[in-house]
Amino acid sequence: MKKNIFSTNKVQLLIFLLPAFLIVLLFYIIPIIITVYVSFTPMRNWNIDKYFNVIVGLQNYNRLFSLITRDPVARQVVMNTVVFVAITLAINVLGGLGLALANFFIDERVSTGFRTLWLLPRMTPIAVYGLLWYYFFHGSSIGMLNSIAMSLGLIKKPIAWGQEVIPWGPWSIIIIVNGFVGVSFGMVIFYSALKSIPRELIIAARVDGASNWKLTTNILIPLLRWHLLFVTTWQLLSLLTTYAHTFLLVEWGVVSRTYGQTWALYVFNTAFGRGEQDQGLAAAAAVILVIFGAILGWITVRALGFNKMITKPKGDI
Amino acid sequence: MARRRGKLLLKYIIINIVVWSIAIIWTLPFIGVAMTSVKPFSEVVVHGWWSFIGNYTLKNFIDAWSNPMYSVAIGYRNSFIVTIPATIAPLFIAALAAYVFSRFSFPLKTLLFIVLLVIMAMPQQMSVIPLFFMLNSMGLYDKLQGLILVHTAWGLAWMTFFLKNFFDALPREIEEAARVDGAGDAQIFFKIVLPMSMPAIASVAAIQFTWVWSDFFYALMFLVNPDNYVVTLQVASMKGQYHIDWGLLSAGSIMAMSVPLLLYALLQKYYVRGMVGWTLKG
Repeated sequence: MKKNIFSTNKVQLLIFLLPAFLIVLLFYIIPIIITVYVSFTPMRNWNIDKYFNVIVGLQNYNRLFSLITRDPVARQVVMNTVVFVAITLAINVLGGLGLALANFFIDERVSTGFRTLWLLPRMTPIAVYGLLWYYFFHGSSIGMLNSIAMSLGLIKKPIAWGQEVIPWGPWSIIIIVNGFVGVSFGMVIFYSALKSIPRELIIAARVDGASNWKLTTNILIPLLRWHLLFVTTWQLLSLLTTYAHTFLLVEWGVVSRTYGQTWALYVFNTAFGRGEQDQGLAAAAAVILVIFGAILGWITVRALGFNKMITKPKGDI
Repeated sequence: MARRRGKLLLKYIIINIVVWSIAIIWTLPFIGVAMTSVKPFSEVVVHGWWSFIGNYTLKNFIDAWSNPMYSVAIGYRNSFIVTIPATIAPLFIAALAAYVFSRFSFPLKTLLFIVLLVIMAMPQQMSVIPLFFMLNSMGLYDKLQGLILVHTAWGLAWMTFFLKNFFDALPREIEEAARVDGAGDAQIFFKIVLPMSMPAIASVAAIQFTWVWSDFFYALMFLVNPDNYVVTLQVASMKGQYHIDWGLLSAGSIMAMSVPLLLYALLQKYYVRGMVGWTLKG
Protein backbone atom coordinates (compact mmCIF):
# COMPACT_ATOMS: atom_id res chain seq x y z
CA MET A 1 0.00 0.00 0.00
CA LYS A 2 2.96 2.33 0.58
CA LYS A 3 3.66 2.71 -3.13
CA ASN A 4 4.15 6.04 -4.75
CA ILE A 5 0.45 6.46 -5.33
CA PHE A 6 0.92 10.17 -5.81
CA SER A 7 3.10 12.00 -8.28
CA THR A 8 5.78 13.08 -5.88
CA ASN A 9 7.74 16.23 -6.02
CA LYS A 10 11.11 15.27 -4.53
CA VAL A 11 12.17 18.78 -3.53
CA GLN A 12 8.91 19.47 -1.78
CA LEU A 13 9.12 16.23 0.19
CA LEU A 14 12.66 17.05 1.23
CA ILE A 15 11.47 20.41 2.55
CA PHE A 16 8.77 18.56 4.50
CA LEU A 17 11.29 16.24 6.13
CA LEU A 18 14.29 18.50 6.57
CA PRO A 19 13.32 20.51 9.69
CA ALA A 20 12.51 17.38 11.67
CA PHE A 21 15.64 15.66 10.44
CA LEU A 22 17.93 18.57 11.34
CA ILE A 23 16.50 19.01 14.83
CA VAL A 24 16.64 15.29 15.59
CA LEU A 25 20.22 15.16 14.35
CA LEU A 26 21.33 18.22 16.31
CA PHE A 27 19.51 17.60 19.58
CA TYR A 28 19.37 13.81 19.77
CA ILE A 29 21.76 11.91 17.60
CA ILE A 30 24.80 14.12 18.06
CA PRO A 31 24.29 14.44 21.85
CA ILE A 32 23.89 10.67 22.20
CA ILE A 33 27.11 10.11 20.27
CA ILE A 34 28.89 12.75 22.39
CA THR A 35 27.64 11.11 25.60
CA VAL A 36 29.11 7.78 24.55
CA TYR A 37 32.35 9.58 23.60
CA VAL A 38 32.51 11.52 26.89
CA SER A 39 32.25 8.24 28.79
CA PHE A 40 35.72 7.45 27.41
CA THR A 41 37.22 10.79 28.52
CA PRO A 42 38.17 12.08 32.00
CA MET A 43 35.77 15.04 31.59
CA ARG A 44 35.01 16.79 34.88
CA ASN A 45 33.73 20.16 36.09
CA TRP A 46 32.69 21.03 32.52
CA ASN A 47 36.34 21.65 31.65
CA ILE A 48 35.91 20.99 27.94
CA ASP A 49 39.18 22.56 26.76
CA LYS A 50 41.28 20.47 29.09
CA TYR A 51 39.63 17.07 28.88
CA PHE A 52 37.63 16.75 25.67
CA ASN A 53 40.52 15.41 23.59
CA VAL A 54 41.88 13.03 26.22
CA ILE A 55 40.84 9.42 25.76
CA VAL A 56 41.25 7.12 28.74
CA GLY A 57 39.61 3.99 27.38
CA LEU A 58 37.46 2.09 29.80
CA GLN A 59 38.77 3.86 32.90
CA ASN A 60 35.37 5.36 33.81
CA TYR A 61 33.69 1.97 33.47
CA ASN A 62 36.35 0.38 35.66
CA ARG A 63 35.90 3.09 38.27
CA LEU A 64 32.16 2.59 38.19
CA PHE A 65 32.57 -1.15 38.63
CA SER A 66 34.97 -0.81 41.56
CA LEU A 67 32.67 1.78 43.16
CA ILE A 68 29.78 -0.67 43.02
CA THR A 69 31.82 -3.51 44.44
CA ARG A 70 33.67 -1.53 47.15
CA ASP A 71 31.95 1.75 47.96
CA PRO A 72 28.98 1.32 50.34
CA VAL A 73 27.24 4.45 48.96
CA ALA A 74 27.36 3.19 45.37
CA ARG A 75 26.24 -0.25 46.48
CA GLN A 76 23.31 1.34 48.27
CA VAL A 77 22.43 3.11 44.99
CA VAL A 78 22.12 -0.28 43.27
CA MET A 79 20.05 -1.64 46.16
CA ASN A 80 17.74 1.42 46.12
CA THR A 81 17.25 1.06 42.37
CA VAL A 82 16.31 -2.63 42.61
CA VAL A 83 13.81 -2.09 45.44
CA PHE A 84 12.37 1.09 43.94
CA VAL A 85 11.90 -0.28 40.43
CA ALA A 86 10.54 -3.66 41.51
CA ILE A 87 7.94 -2.39 43.98
CA THR A 88 6.87 0.69 42.01
CA LEU A 89 6.51 -1.43 38.88
CA ALA A 90 4.25 -3.86 40.72
CA ILE A 91 2.14 -0.96 42.05
CA ASN A 92 1.94 0.71 38.66
CA VAL A 93 0.88 -2.40 36.76
CA LEU A 94 -1.34 -4.12 39.33
CA GLY A 95 -2.69 -0.85 40.75
CA GLY A 96 -3.41 0.42 37.26
CA LEU A 97 -5.21 -2.83 36.47
CA GLY A 98 -7.17 -2.67 39.72
CA LEU A 99 -8.22 0.94 39.13
CA ALA A 100 -9.22 0.19 35.54
CA LEU A 101 -11.34 -2.79 36.64
CA ALA A 102 -12.91 -0.77 39.45
CA ASN A 103 -13.78 1.97 36.98
CA PHE A 104 -15.14 -0.65 34.62
CA PHE A 105 -17.51 -2.14 37.20
CA ILE A 106 -18.71 0.97 39.03
CA ASP A 107 -21.35 3.34 37.74
CA GLU A 108 -20.28 5.17 34.57
CA ARG A 109 -21.05 8.64 35.93
CA VAL A 110 -19.02 8.05 39.09
CA SER A 111 -16.11 6.50 37.21
CA THR A 112 -15.77 9.53 34.91
CA GLY A 113 -15.17 11.71 37.94
CA PHE A 114 -12.69 9.26 39.40
CA ARG A 115 -10.66 8.97 36.26
CA THR A 116 -10.20 12.74 36.34
CA LEU A 117 -9.02 12.40 39.92
CA TRP A 118 -6.55 9.61 39.20
CA LEU A 119 -4.88 11.69 36.52
CA LEU A 120 -4.38 14.63 38.87
CA PRO A 121 -0.80 13.65 39.89
CA ARG A 122 0.18 13.28 36.24
CA MET A 123 -1.19 16.69 35.32
CA THR A 124 0.50 18.45 38.23
CA PRO A 125 3.91 19.98 37.41
CA ILE A 126 6.74 17.88 38.85
CA ALA A 127 8.07 20.65 41.08
CA VAL A 128 4.61 21.38 42.47
CA TYR A 129 3.86 17.71 43.06
CA GLY A 130 7.21 17.46 44.83
CA LEU A 131 6.24 20.42 46.99
CA LEU A 132 2.92 18.77 47.92
CA TRP A 133 4.73 15.71 49.21
CA TYR A 134 7.40 17.84 50.81
CA TYR A 135 4.64 19.43 52.84
CA PHE A 136 2.96 16.07 53.44
CA PHE A 137 6.02 14.22 54.77
CA HIS A 138 7.78 17.20 56.35
CA GLY A 139 9.67 16.23 59.51
CA SER A 140 8.31 19.06 61.68
CA SER A 141 4.94 19.19 63.40
CA ILE A 142 3.73 21.32 60.45
CA GLY A 143 4.05 18.35 58.07
CA MET A 144 0.58 17.08 57.11
CA LEU A 145 1.21 13.47 58.07
CA ASN A 146 2.78 14.45 61.39
CA SER A 147 0.00 16.89 62.19
CA ILE A 148 -2.67 14.25 61.50
CA ALA A 149 -0.85 11.52 63.43
CA MET A 150 -0.18 13.82 66.39
CA SER A 151 -3.72 15.14 66.66
CA LEU A 152 -4.97 11.54 66.57
CA GLY A 153 -2.50 10.73 69.32
CA LEU A 154 -0.66 8.11 67.29
CA ILE A 155 2.75 9.70 67.83
CA LYS A 156 4.07 11.98 70.58
CA LYS A 157 6.59 14.03 68.64
CA PRO A 158 7.03 14.64 64.89
CA ILE A 159 8.88 12.03 62.85
CA ALA A 160 11.12 12.77 59.87
CA TRP A 161 9.66 9.95 57.81
CA GLY A 162 12.24 9.95 55.07
CA GLN A 163 15.28 10.35 57.32
CA GLU A 164 14.66 8.24 60.39
CA VAL A 165 12.73 5.10 59.53
CA ILE A 166 15.65 3.52 57.63
CA PRO A 167 15.48 2.10 55.00
CA TRP A 168 11.75 1.66 54.51
CA GLY A 169 10.86 5.26 55.40
CA PRO A 170 12.74 6.86 52.51
CA TRP A 171 11.94 3.94 50.22
CA SER A 172 8.21 4.14 50.93
CA ILE A 173 8.16 7.86 50.17
CA ILE A 174 9.85 7.61 46.78
CA ILE A 175 7.71 4.59 45.92
CA ILE A 176 4.45 6.30 46.95
CA VAL A 177 5.21 9.53 45.11
CA ASN A 178 6.30 7.83 41.88
CA GLY A 179 3.61 5.17 42.19
CA PHE A 180 0.80 7.74 42.39
CA VAL A 181 2.04 9.32 39.18
CA GLY A 182 2.70 6.06 37.37
CA VAL A 183 -0.46 4.19 38.23
CA SER A 184 -2.63 6.47 36.10
CA PHE A 185 -0.80 5.43 32.94
CA GLY A 186 -1.72 1.76 33.35
CA MET A 187 -5.25 2.73 34.32
CA VAL A 188 -5.86 4.79 31.19
CA ILE A 189 -4.44 2.11 28.88
CA PHE A 190 -6.27 -0.77 30.58
CA TYR A 191 -9.55 1.09 30.90
CA SER A 192 -9.68 2.03 27.24
CA ALA A 193 -8.82 -1.58 26.35
CA LEU A 194 -11.63 -2.86 28.60
CA LYS A 195 -14.05 -0.44 26.99
CA SER A 196 -13.17 -1.71 23.54
CA ILE A 197 -14.04 -5.33 24.42
CA PRO A 198 -17.21 -6.28 22.51
CA ARG A 199 -20.27 -5.97 24.77
CA GLU A 200 -21.66 -9.30 23.50
CA LEU A 201 -18.80 -11.21 25.13
CA ILE A 202 -19.56 -9.72 28.53
CA ILE A 203 -23.31 -10.07 28.18
CA ALA A 204 -22.91 -13.70 27.13
CA ALA A 205 -20.76 -14.40 30.18
CA ARG A 206 -23.30 -12.68 32.41
CA VAL A 207 -26.11 -14.78 30.96
CA ASP A 208 -24.04 -17.87 31.78
CA GLY A 209 -23.98 -16.63 35.39
CA ALA A 210 -20.36 -15.45 35.64
CA SER A 211 -19.58 -13.32 38.69
CA ASN A 212 -17.45 -10.17 38.47
CA TRP A 213 -14.46 -12.18 39.65
CA LYS A 214 -14.98 -14.98 37.11
CA LEU A 215 -15.54 -12.43 34.39
CA THR A 216 -12.31 -10.65 35.33
CA THR A 217 -10.03 -13.67 35.60
CA ASN A 218 -11.46 -15.70 32.73
CA ILE A 219 -12.31 -13.08 30.15
CA LEU A 220 -11.07 -9.57 30.87
CA ILE A 221 -7.49 -10.26 31.96
CA PRO A 222 -6.74 -12.73 29.14
CA LEU A 223 -7.95 -10.10 26.68
CA LEU A 224 -5.66 -7.52 28.28
CA ARG A 225 -2.51 -9.61 27.88
CA TRP A 226 -0.99 -7.44 25.19
CA HIS A 227 -1.70 -4.29 27.15
CA LEU A 228 -0.25 -5.80 30.33
CA LEU A 229 2.94 -6.60 28.48
CA PHE A 230 3.13 -3.14 26.99
CA VAL A 231 2.52 -1.29 30.27
CA THR A 232 4.98 -3.50 32.16
CA THR A 233 7.78 -2.97 29.67
CA TRP A 234 7.11 0.73 29.23
CA GLN A 235 6.89 1.38 32.97
CA LEU A 236 9.98 -0.71 33.66
CA LEU A 237 12.02 1.41 31.29
CA SER A 238 10.66 4.70 32.54
CA LEU A 239 11.11 3.76 36.21
CA LEU A 240 14.72 2.80 35.54
CA THR A 241 15.42 6.24 34.11
CA THR A 242 13.15 8.50 36.15
CA TYR A 243 14.70 10.86 38.65
CA ALA A 244 12.64 14.04 38.66
CA HIS A 245 10.46 13.55 41.75
CA THR A 246 13.18 11.68 43.60
CA PHE A 247 15.71 14.43 42.94
CA LEU A 248 13.49 17.06 44.54
CA LEU A 249 12.61 14.90 47.54
CA VAL A 250 16.31 14.21 48.18
CA GLU A 251 17.41 17.78 47.45
CA TRP A 252 14.86 19.22 49.85
CA GLY A 253 15.81 16.77 52.57
CA VAL A 254 12.47 14.93 52.72
CA VAL A 255 14.24 11.71 51.82
CA SER A 256 17.69 10.66 52.96
CA ARG A 257 20.31 11.00 50.21
CA THR A 258 21.81 7.59 50.94
CA TYR A 259 18.53 5.69 50.77
CA GLY A 260 16.72 7.81 48.19
CA GLN A 261 19.29 7.91 45.40
CA THR A 262 18.56 5.55 42.53
CA TRP A 263 20.87 4.89 39.58
CA ALA A 264 19.09 7.41 37.37
CA LEU A 265 19.47 10.10 40.01
CA TYR A 266 23.09 9.06 40.55
CA VAL A 267 23.80 9.84 36.88
CA PHE A 268 22.26 13.28 37.24
CA ASN A 269 23.96 14.08 40.55
CA THR A 270 27.36 12.92 39.31
CA ALA A 271 27.17 15.25 36.32
CA PHE A 272 25.29 18.24 37.74
CA GLY A 273 25.24 17.79 41.52
CA ARG A 274 27.06 19.52 44.32
CA GLY A 275 30.79 19.15 44.85
CA GLU A 276 32.94 17.75 42.08
CA GLN A 277 31.04 17.17 38.87
CA ASP A 278 32.36 14.16 37.06
CA GLN A 279 30.78 14.09 33.59
CA GLY A 280 32.98 11.23 32.38
CA LEU A 281 31.75 8.93 35.12
CA ALA A 282 28.17 10.16 34.71
CA ALA A 283 28.25 9.47 30.97
CA ALA A 284 29.54 5.95 31.63
CA ALA A 285 26.75 5.42 34.17
CA ALA A 286 24.19 6.67 31.63
CA VAL A 287 25.49 4.29 28.96
CA ILE A 288 25.32 1.38 31.43
CA LEU A 289 21.77 2.43 32.33
CA VAL A 290 20.66 2.33 28.69
CA ILE A 291 22.33 -1.03 28.03
CA PHE A 292 20.81 -2.44 31.21
CA GLY A 293 17.38 -1.05 30.28
CA ALA A 294 17.59 -2.59 26.81
CA ILE A 295 18.50 -6.00 28.25
CA LEU A 296 15.80 -5.88 30.92
CA GLY A 297 13.21 -4.72 28.41
CA TRP A 298 14.14 -7.57 26.10
CA ILE A 299 13.95 -10.11 28.94
CA THR A 300 10.54 -8.79 29.99
CA VAL A 301 9.18 -9.08 26.48
CA ARG A 302 10.54 -12.63 26.20
CA ALA A 303 9.52 -13.72 29.70
CA LEU A 304 5.97 -12.51 29.25
CA GLY A 305 5.80 -14.34 25.94
CA PHE A 306 5.53 -11.63 23.35
CA ASN A 307 5.06 -14.15 20.55
CA LYS A 308 2.08 -15.71 22.24
CA MET A 309 0.61 -12.35 23.06
CA ILE A 310 0.48 -10.80 19.65
CA THR A 311 -1.86 -13.53 18.47
CA LYS A 312 -5.32 -12.81 19.75
CA PRO A 313 -6.72 -15.45 22.10
CA LYS A 314 -9.36 -17.55 20.43
CA GLY A 315 -11.66 -20.46 21.16
CA ASP A 316 -11.57 -20.41 24.94
CA ILE A 317 -13.43 -17.14 25.41
CA MET B 1 -34.73 -12.49 45.59
CA ALA B 2 -34.69 -9.98 48.45
CA ARG B 3 -31.63 -11.59 49.94
CA ARG B 4 -29.86 -11.43 46.62
CA ARG B 5 -30.71 -7.77 46.28
CA GLY B 6 -29.46 -7.14 49.83
CA LYS B 7 -26.18 -8.84 48.99
CA LEU B 8 -25.82 -6.73 45.85
CA LEU B 9 -26.50 -3.56 47.81
CA LEU B 10 -23.90 -4.52 50.41
CA LYS B 11 -21.35 -5.17 47.68
CA TYR B 12 -22.19 -1.84 46.07
CA ILE B 13 -21.67 -0.04 49.38
CA ILE B 14 -18.36 -1.80 50.06
CA ILE B 15 -17.01 -1.03 46.59
CA ASN B 16 -17.98 2.60 47.00
CA ILE B 17 -16.38 2.89 50.44
CA VAL B 18 -13.13 1.40 49.13
CA VAL B 19 -13.05 3.62 46.05
CA TRP B 20 -13.89 6.77 47.99
CA SER B 21 -11.30 6.16 50.70
CA ILE B 22 -8.61 5.61 48.08
CA ALA B 23 -9.74 8.83 46.42
CA ILE B 24 -9.47 10.78 49.66
CA ILE B 25 -5.98 9.47 50.43
CA TRP B 26 -5.09 10.24 46.84
CA THR B 27 -6.13 13.86 47.08
CA LEU B 28 -5.05 14.50 50.67
CA PRO B 29 -1.86 16.42 49.75
CA PHE B 30 -3.87 18.53 47.31
CA ILE B 31 -6.53 19.30 49.91
CA GLY B 32 -3.89 20.19 52.49
CA VAL B 33 -2.16 22.62 50.17
CA ALA B 34 -5.44 24.19 49.06
CA MET B 35 -6.48 24.75 52.68
CA THR B 36 -3.09 26.16 53.70
CA SER B 37 -3.10 28.59 50.79
CA VAL B 38 -6.36 30.30 51.74
CA LYS B 39 -5.83 30.50 55.51
CA PRO B 40 -3.57 32.72 57.59
CA PHE B 41 -0.66 30.54 58.64
CA SER B 42 -1.01 31.37 62.34
CA GLU B 43 -4.43 29.69 62.24
CA VAL B 44 -3.14 26.67 60.35
CA VAL B 45 -0.63 26.11 63.15
CA VAL B 46 -3.26 26.36 65.87
CA HIS B 47 -6.27 24.56 64.36
CA GLY B 48 -4.57 22.31 61.80
CA TRP B 49 -4.99 22.68 58.05
CA TRP B 50 -8.09 20.48 57.96
CA SER B 51 -10.11 22.89 60.10
CA PHE B 52 -12.75 24.90 58.23
CA ILE B 53 -13.27 27.43 61.03
CA GLY B 54 -11.48 30.77 61.20
CA ASN B 55 -10.59 33.36 58.62
CA TYR B 56 -9.90 33.00 54.94
CA THR B 57 -7.49 35.22 53.07
CA LEU B 58 -6.09 35.79 49.60
CA LYS B 59 -2.95 37.39 51.00
CA ASN B 60 -0.82 34.35 50.17
CA PHE B 61 -1.87 34.49 46.53
CA ILE B 62 -1.16 38.21 46.24
CA ASP B 63 2.24 37.76 47.92
CA ALA B 64 3.19 34.87 45.66
CA TRP B 65 2.02 36.69 42.54
CA SER B 66 4.20 39.74 43.13
CA ASN B 67 6.94 38.33 45.32
CA PRO B 68 10.06 40.54 45.06
CA MET B 69 12.44 37.54 44.97
CA TYR B 70 10.59 34.88 43.00
CA SER B 71 7.29 35.92 41.53
CA VAL B 72 4.56 33.85 39.94
CA ALA B 73 3.78 36.77 37.61
CA ILE B 74 7.25 36.65 36.02
CA GLY B 75 7.07 32.86 36.07
CA TYR B 76 3.77 32.87 34.20
CA ARG B 77 5.16 35.26 31.60
CA ASN B 78 8.27 33.11 31.01
CA SER B 79 6.29 29.89 31.03
CA PHE B 80 3.94 31.17 28.35
CA ILE B 81 6.84 32.53 26.30
CA VAL B 82 8.41 29.05 26.36
CA THR B 83 5.36 26.81 26.26
CA ILE B 84 3.40 28.28 23.35
CA PRO B 85 6.19 28.17 20.74
CA ALA B 86 7.47 24.87 22.18
CA THR B 87 4.02 23.40 21.51
CA ILE B 88 3.32 24.86 18.08
CA ALA B 89 6.77 24.52 16.49
CA PRO B 90 7.33 20.79 17.09
CA LEU B 91 3.71 20.06 16.22
CA PHE B 92 4.08 21.71 12.85
CA ILE B 93 7.48 20.17 12.10
CA ALA B 94 6.34 16.72 13.24
CA ALA B 95 3.15 16.92 11.18
CA LEU B 96 5.16 17.61 8.02
CA ALA B 97 7.52 14.72 8.68
CA ALA B 98 4.73 12.36 9.73
CA TYR B 99 2.83 13.08 6.53
CA VAL B 100 5.83 12.12 4.43
CA PHE B 101 6.36 8.97 6.50
CA SER B 102 2.71 8.05 6.13
CA ARG B 103 2.16 8.70 2.43
CA PHE B 104 5.38 8.34 0.48
CA SER B 105 8.14 5.87 0.04
CA PHE B 106 11.72 7.06 -0.19
CA PRO B 107 15.20 5.63 0.35
CA LEU B 108 16.17 4.85 3.99
CA LYS B 109 12.58 5.31 5.14
CA THR B 110 12.51 2.21 7.33
CA LEU B 111 15.89 3.02 8.86
CA LEU B 112 14.84 6.60 9.66
CA PHE B 113 11.66 5.38 11.25
CA ILE B 114 13.53 2.88 13.44
CA VAL B 115 15.88 5.70 14.50
CA LEU B 116 12.82 7.68 15.52
CA LEU B 117 11.52 4.79 17.65
CA VAL B 118 14.90 4.27 19.34
CA ILE B 119 15.05 7.97 20.14
CA MET B 120 11.60 7.79 21.73
CA ALA B 121 12.91 5.15 24.13
CA MET B 122 16.12 7.05 24.98
CA PRO B 123 16.22 8.51 28.48
CA GLN B 124 17.05 12.16 29.09
CA GLN B 125 20.32 11.17 30.75
CA MET B 126 21.77 10.19 27.38
CA SER B 127 21.57 13.70 26.01
CA VAL B 128 21.64 16.26 28.84
CA ILE B 129 25.41 16.42 29.33
CA PRO B 130 26.21 17.33 25.70
CA LEU B 131 23.11 19.57 25.48
CA PHE B 132 24.55 21.59 28.33
CA PHE B 133 27.75 22.48 26.49
CA MET B 134 26.04 22.71 23.11
CA LEU B 135 23.66 25.40 24.36
CA ASN B 136 26.60 27.08 26.02
CA SER B 137 28.58 27.25 22.80
CA MET B 138 25.55 28.47 20.81
CA GLY B 139 25.07 31.32 23.28
CA LEU B 140 21.66 29.95 24.24
CA TYR B 141 22.48 29.03 27.82
CA ASP B 142 20.25 30.91 30.26
CA LYS B 143 18.04 31.98 27.33
CA LEU B 144 14.38 31.11 26.91
CA GLN B 145 15.06 30.44 23.20
CA GLY B 146 17.42 27.63 24.19
CA LEU B 147 14.75 26.04 26.34
CA ILE B 148 12.23 26.31 23.48
CA LEU B 149 14.64 24.52 21.15
CA VAL B 150 15.28 21.70 23.63
CA HIS B 151 11.56 21.15 24.22
CA THR B 152 10.88 21.27 20.49
CA ALA B 153 13.43 18.53 19.93
CA TRP B 154 12.16 16.47 22.86
CA GLY B 155 8.59 16.54 21.57
CA LEU B 156 9.39 15.80 17.93
CA ALA B 157 9.96 12.05 18.07
CA TRP B 158 6.74 10.94 19.76
CA MET B 159 4.66 13.53 17.89
CA THR B 160 5.90 12.24 14.54
CA PHE B 161 5.11 8.70 15.62
CA PHE B 162 1.64 9.61 16.90
CA LEU B 163 0.69 11.69 13.87
CA LYS B 164 2.00 9.09 11.41
CA ASN B 165 -0.32 6.53 12.98
CA PHE B 166 -3.19 8.98 12.73
CA PHE B 167 -2.48 9.86 9.08
CA ASP B 168 -2.23 6.15 8.26
CA ALA B 169 -5.82 5.74 9.40
CA LEU B 170 -7.17 8.69 7.39
CA PRO B 171 -9.03 7.81 4.18
CA ARG B 172 -6.96 8.65 1.12
CA GLU B 173 -9.74 9.07 -1.42
CA ILE B 174 -10.11 12.80 -0.79
CA GLU B 175 -6.40 13.38 -1.25
CA GLU B 176 -6.38 11.37 -4.46
CA ALA B 177 -9.35 13.32 -5.78
CA ALA B 178 -7.60 16.60 -4.97
CA ARG B 179 -4.49 15.39 -6.75
CA VAL B 180 -6.49 14.55 -9.82
CA ASP B 181 -7.78 18.11 -9.71
CA GLY B 182 -4.17 19.30 -9.80
CA ALA B 183 -3.42 20.14 -6.17
CA GLY B 184 0.24 19.96 -5.06
CA ASP B 185 1.65 18.17 -2.00
CA ALA B 186 1.78 21.33 0.08
CA GLN B 187 -1.75 22.34 -0.87
CA ILE B 188 -3.11 18.89 -0.03
CA PHE B 189 -1.30 18.86 3.30
CA PHE B 190 -2.42 22.30 4.45
CA LYS B 191 -5.90 22.39 2.94
CA ILE B 192 -7.04 18.79 3.41
CA VAL B 193 -4.87 16.70 5.74
CA LEU B 194 -4.30 19.24 8.51
CA PRO B 195 -7.98 20.26 8.85
CA MET B 196 -9.01 16.59 8.94
CA SER B 197 -6.45 15.93 11.67
CA MET B 198 -7.69 18.45 14.21
CA PRO B 199 -8.58 15.83 16.88
CA ALA B 200 -5.09 14.33 16.74
CA ILE B 201 -3.51 17.77 16.74
CA ALA B 202 -5.54 18.74 19.81
CA SER B 203 -4.35 15.60 21.62
CA VAL B 204 -0.72 16.19 20.77
CA ALA B 205 -0.89 19.88 21.63
CA ALA B 206 -2.57 19.25 24.98
CA ILE B 207 0.03 16.70 26.04
CA GLN B 208 3.00 18.71 24.84
CA PHE B 209 1.70 21.90 26.46
CA THR B 210 1.35 20.14 29.81
CA TRP B 211 4.73 18.51 29.49
CA VAL B 212 6.54 21.77 28.71
CA TRP B 213 4.65 23.77 31.31
CA SER B 214 5.33 21.14 33.96
CA ASP B 215 8.96 20.66 33.09
CA PHE B 216 11.35 21.44 35.87
CA PHE B 217 14.65 19.84 34.91
CA TYR B 218 15.51 21.40 31.59
CA ALA B 219 14.62 24.74 33.13
CA LEU B 220 16.75 23.99 36.18
CA MET B 221 19.74 22.99 34.06
CA PHE B 222 19.54 25.64 31.38
CA LEU B 223 18.28 28.75 33.21
CA VAL B 224 20.31 30.65 35.81
CA ASN B 225 18.89 34.14 36.22
CA PRO B 226 15.69 34.29 38.34
CA ASP B 227 14.28 36.79 35.81
CA ASN B 228 14.27 33.93 33.29
CA TYR B 229 12.80 31.34 35.62
CA VAL B 230 9.64 29.61 34.44
CA VAL B 231 6.82 29.30 36.92
CA THR B 232 7.76 25.84 38.23
CA LEU B 233 11.26 27.10 39.05
CA GLN B 234 9.91 30.27 40.64
CA VAL B 235 7.62 28.33 42.94
CA ALA B 236 10.24 25.74 43.84
CA SER B 237 12.67 28.55 44.68
CA MET B 238 10.14 30.14 47.05
CA LYS B 239 11.01 27.36 49.46
CA GLY B 240 13.85 29.09 51.32
CA GLN B 241 16.78 27.19 52.76
CA TYR B 242 15.97 27.89 56.41
CA HIS B 243 12.68 29.69 56.63
CA ILE B 244 9.65 28.16 54.95
CA ASP B 245 6.56 30.28 54.32
CA TRP B 246 4.05 27.46 53.91
CA GLY B 247 1.18 29.77 52.94
CA LEU B 248 3.22 31.44 50.20
CA LEU B 249 4.51 28.10 48.95
CA SER B 250 1.01 26.60 48.84
CA ALA B 251 -0.48 29.58 47.00
CA GLY B 252 2.39 29.52 44.49
CA SER B 253 1.93 25.76 43.96
CA ILE B 254 -1.77 26.20 43.27
CA MET B 255 -1.14 28.95 40.74
CA ALA B 256 1.60 26.93 38.99
CA MET B 257 -0.59 23.85 38.62
CA SER B 258 -3.81 25.66 37.77
CA VAL B 259 -2.87 26.23 34.12
CA PRO B 260 -2.28 22.56 33.16
CA LEU B 261 -5.20 21.44 35.34
CA LEU B 262 -7.55 23.92 33.70
CA LEU B 263 -6.41 22.79 30.27
CA TYR B 264 -6.88 19.18 31.34
CA ALA B 265 -10.41 19.92 32.55
CA LEU B 266 -11.27 21.50 29.21
CA LEU B 267 -9.55 18.97 26.94
CA GLN B 268 -9.82 15.78 28.98
CA LYS B 269 -11.05 13.67 26.08
CA TYR B 270 -8.02 14.63 23.98
CA TYR B 271 -5.58 13.89 26.77
CA VAL B 272 -6.84 10.37 27.20
CA ARG B 273 -6.88 9.75 23.47
CA GLY B 274 -3.37 11.09 23.27
CA MET B 275 -2.09 8.85 26.06
CA VAL B 276 -3.68 5.77 24.56
CA GLY B 277 -3.13 6.60 20.93
CA TRP B 278 0.55 7.25 20.60
CA THR B 279 1.58 4.28 22.68
CA LEU B 280 -0.77 1.61 21.44
CA LYS B 281 -1.46 0.89 17.85
CA GLY B 282 -2.69 -2.27 16.24
